[in-house]
Amino acid sequence: MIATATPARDGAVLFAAAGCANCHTDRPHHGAPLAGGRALVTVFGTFFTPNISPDPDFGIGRWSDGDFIRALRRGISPAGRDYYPSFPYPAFTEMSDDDILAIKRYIFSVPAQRQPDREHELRFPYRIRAGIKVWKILYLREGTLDADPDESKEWNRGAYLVRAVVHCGECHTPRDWLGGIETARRFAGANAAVDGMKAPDITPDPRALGRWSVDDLASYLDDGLTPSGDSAGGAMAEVIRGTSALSAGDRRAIAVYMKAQTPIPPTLSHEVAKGD
Amino acid sequence: MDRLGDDIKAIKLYVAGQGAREAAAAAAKDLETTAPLVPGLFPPGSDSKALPGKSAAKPEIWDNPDDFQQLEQALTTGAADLRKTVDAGDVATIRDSMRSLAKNACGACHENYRGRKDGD
Repeated sequence: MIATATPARDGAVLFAAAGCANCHTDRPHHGAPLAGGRALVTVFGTFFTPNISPDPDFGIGRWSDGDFIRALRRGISPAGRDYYPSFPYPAFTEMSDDDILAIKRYIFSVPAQRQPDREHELRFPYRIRAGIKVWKILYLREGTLDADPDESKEWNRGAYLVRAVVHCGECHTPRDWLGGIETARRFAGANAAVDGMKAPDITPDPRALGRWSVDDLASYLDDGLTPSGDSAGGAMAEVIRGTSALSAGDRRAIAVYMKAQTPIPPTLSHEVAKGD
Repeated sequence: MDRLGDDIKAIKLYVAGQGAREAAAAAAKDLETTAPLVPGLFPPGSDSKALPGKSAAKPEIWDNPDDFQQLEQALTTGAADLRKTVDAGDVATIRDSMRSLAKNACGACHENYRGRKDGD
């Protein structure tokens, strides 16, 4: 059973919350929307995101619904190629088919961009694409998220948004040398795999979100303001553009779910309390 | 910048029903007065590479002077607007005005131009 799919089937909102444009638009170089080409600099090498605009030749304009679902759920292209998990399909796999297809409908409603993809520039051994098959066996748990009957409807909705859609854990969880999420330290913060970002601990640990109330976190996901009056920056400002498109109820569900997590001391030693 | 944060904090507390209206009004007035001074905090050579441990400013600020100037303008007008709404006292309007300032000025600038004090 699927946890809690979006009732409104609002593709634009899901598209924003899932942050698709954050990676697939080369905003640092004023690139065209969804034309790809944004460089993601990682310890594994540099990924150049593909064009996901609906152009039939350079984008995904020829993809069927089944192609799109297979890409998001299993990380496989229509031609059968494995995607690197820099594309967060380990999170998107938990989305409902309805929500995945709502995102596809939205993408197919925006202008096509005739921009060719650029090959990734990866280090050895990561450049060997066959390795992704092994990676998937180790780390990919394919399939939609089951609802937890012992938790509230709000918690379950939050779980769905955090894990499947907004994919918070992809940056805020440390990864091992193969790029797999260390599930025991989920949300404990990380030297994120992308662009040298330091993603802070977002568990309810006292040095992390312990002193934030549910309201604090819900309003932060709308306006980016922390309880101390600071404002989110960098990639998190992009994330907040997405979460601010969600309903107030959805932002609250995210906050309820995050505040219910097990507190874990921060991965990053320099972290100090941000909730004062 | 810490002073702006303290002002925002006071206004947030009032909006949340946890702070005095007088404190919020004083903070909004201070914010309006302080906002135009922000450009002076970023003279050339004050980026995080030049002043490690002290500055979190990304060097890109000085590569995009027009954009940075627009953000400064958004901060000044947003702060003036927020002061007016705080004076008027309607909590829902204050919240909207604070959200606009946060997104169009604070967040928009931090997104591209605030790095880390350790220079990363």
